[in-house]
Amino acid sequence: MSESSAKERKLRNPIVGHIRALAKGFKYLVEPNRMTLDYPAETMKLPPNYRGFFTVDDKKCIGCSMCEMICPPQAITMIPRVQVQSGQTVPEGAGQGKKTKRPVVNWGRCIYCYFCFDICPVDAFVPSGVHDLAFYNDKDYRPSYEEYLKPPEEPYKNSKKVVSRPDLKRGVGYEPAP
Amino acid sequence: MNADELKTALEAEGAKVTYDQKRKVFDVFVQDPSRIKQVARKMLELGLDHVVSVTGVDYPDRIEVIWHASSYSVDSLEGLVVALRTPISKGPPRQAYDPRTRTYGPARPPLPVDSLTDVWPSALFLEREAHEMFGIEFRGHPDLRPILLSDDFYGKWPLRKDFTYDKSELKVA
Amino acid sequence: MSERVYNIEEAPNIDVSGDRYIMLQIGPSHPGSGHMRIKVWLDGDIVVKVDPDIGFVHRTSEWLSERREFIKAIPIVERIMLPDTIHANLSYITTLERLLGLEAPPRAQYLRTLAAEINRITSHLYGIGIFGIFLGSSTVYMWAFGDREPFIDLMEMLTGARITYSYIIPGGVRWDMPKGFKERAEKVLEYMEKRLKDYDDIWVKNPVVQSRCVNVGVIDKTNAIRLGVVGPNLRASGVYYDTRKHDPYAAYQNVDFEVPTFKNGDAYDRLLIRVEEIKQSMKIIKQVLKDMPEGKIIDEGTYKQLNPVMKKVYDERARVMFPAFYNHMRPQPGEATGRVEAGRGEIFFYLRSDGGKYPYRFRWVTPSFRNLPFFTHVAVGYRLADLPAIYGSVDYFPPEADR
Repeated sequence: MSESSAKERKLRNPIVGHIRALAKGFKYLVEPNRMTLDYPAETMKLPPNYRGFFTVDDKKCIGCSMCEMICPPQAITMIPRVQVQSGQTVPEGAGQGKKTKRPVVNWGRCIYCYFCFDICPVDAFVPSGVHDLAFYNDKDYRPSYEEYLKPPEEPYKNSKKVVSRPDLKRGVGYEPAP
Repeated sequence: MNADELKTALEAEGAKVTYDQKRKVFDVFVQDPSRIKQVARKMLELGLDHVVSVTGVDYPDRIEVIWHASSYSVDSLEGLVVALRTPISKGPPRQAYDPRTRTYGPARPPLPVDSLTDVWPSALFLEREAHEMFGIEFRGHPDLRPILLSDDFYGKWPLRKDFTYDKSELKVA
Repeated sequence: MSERVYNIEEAPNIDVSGDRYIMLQIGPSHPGSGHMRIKVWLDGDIVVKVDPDIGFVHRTSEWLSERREFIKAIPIVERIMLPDTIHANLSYITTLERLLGLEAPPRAQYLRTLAAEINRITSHLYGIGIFGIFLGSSTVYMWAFGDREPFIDLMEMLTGARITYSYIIPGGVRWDMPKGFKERAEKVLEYMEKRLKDYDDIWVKNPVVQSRCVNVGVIDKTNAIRLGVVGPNLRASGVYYDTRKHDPYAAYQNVDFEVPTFKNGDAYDRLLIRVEEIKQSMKIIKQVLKDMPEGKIIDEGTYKQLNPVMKKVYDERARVMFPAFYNHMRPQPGEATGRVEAGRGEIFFYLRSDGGKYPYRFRWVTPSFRNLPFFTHVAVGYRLADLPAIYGSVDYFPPEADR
């Protein structure tokens, strides 16, 4: 243990301290900086690797169940593929030796760790770029089979898209997305 | 004092010492649980001045209590975590859940071993946790109330391998 | 400024059962940060005994992780300590790598160091902000939480998540540094350096803060060592100890930084040390960005096991996909330990494998839990009105202690 490095602190003179604190407070009173985002009038355009809601590319998926095995909160379940034939849903490819399952996600359990993305041997998962969905009903956490095939719809489509930028004056600031 | 000297010094106390530098395991195994206080005092003397962790490991035939000690004051020992390990014999296993009495057989008393809180006061809360999780009774510990678990969970020793729960026990609305 | 009335050596022996002492319960409904109850026995308004009652947010994390595959423990270890998730992740992976016999390549080690230091800054800003609200200054609370945002944005750029990064995997990291990260990080650091002067004026060297913190909650060096205090609280008492220096992991042996220590060990020193550590972290980030070596971000053995699709993804997008063995990782029987200096102190993991799918024993010790014995001593002898300053300065995070 080296003793020499212990620092000696310097206490500020109270009068100087009060004046400087007040001066600093006054400076920010005159030119305040807003760090917040005016949500939902403005929404963030997220970086491309942002981990939000996702879909599965049904053409690429081979139904190997690796994503179901690695999912830490057990949010992914494999369900049989179905197709509609003459008004009836029947299992697709059953009995023909084809892979017959596909993953569906329970959004109420998903923790967005994206382990399923990385374990997928054919890279079938597609990020949707949507992260702010709310559900009115707990049944909505589990969309129907058809709904899984199309990406979730983005809320507040008409809002102003902004990106955060480091600003020397304001720390985090927002500017319109390019 | 380096790792080799520490090894020699602790072997003189009758402990079995192994050091795996790659996995960062410095293991001091004391077969006789009644000797741990003596070995711990020696460790404190050599400069291992605080406890990092106290835990048990439940094996089929025994429960091992491990105190991981380390040093703040001796420069050459600061990179080491020394595990003081001792086995204690296990009591009767937990029986299957009986829905009528709503118990798992008769209550199993905690297994006694010497507390090292008088050697290392930093073990105070860590030993309390090991007590409620593994059912190890640290003799000489000033205050062995449950700390993380609620009082109605006391006696179930949840981190032992025979811990199971019945669904009817869960208080789910 | 108040002086300590009772000596901490004799205070635990005081019998508090009589009429003379009043027991006051502070919490558990959020006494400031998180759920914890502090039972305080008072003589007049002087604290004679403190009994922290924790466990309100116990989530049986060790039990859960012993019943899951090794890889699934990554999200669980993160969720115990949300202000510094990278350190929990890094600590677990360091331990697991020792068990598996893997070693991450230099670039991955540097990226780990970079992520850890950015996270340390956000963690300390969190601590400073909470300390502010304890002392009634909502300004510094808003400032600190607002200034975390540029750093969280950096992490979001690097890992794709704001808080729960799950960034570090056995053998490397999951994503490489994106384009434009370095320029952005330099801008953020420049801003923060400027901003720390504002913090000095309005908070750290404010006479009001000084008068509430100086000589309050003193713990001397001997007692700090005896009670096993960790992290900034230990260094504020003058003990020169930092896991990054004494048991190096990631790329810390290659970077040059100081371990700031202070002599007095009071609440004010515990505040100052966090500010000093932010400065040191920024110094480390600058070096890491400058010296970042080229190369793979995953070790050769793991890279070889990727299938052709995954290798293509790695080459195109610098993203590491998991080889199939991650689903059923079975380390050799044995044990390993790992320590990492997190924002609040040292995390310790002990991992034992019996050659099976799940860890046989996985022991977690978090810094806040190890600061508990210290907590029972530090407030004794001071007035009740000093308790918020003491509790705030300890930077105690209940979910981390309860696990």
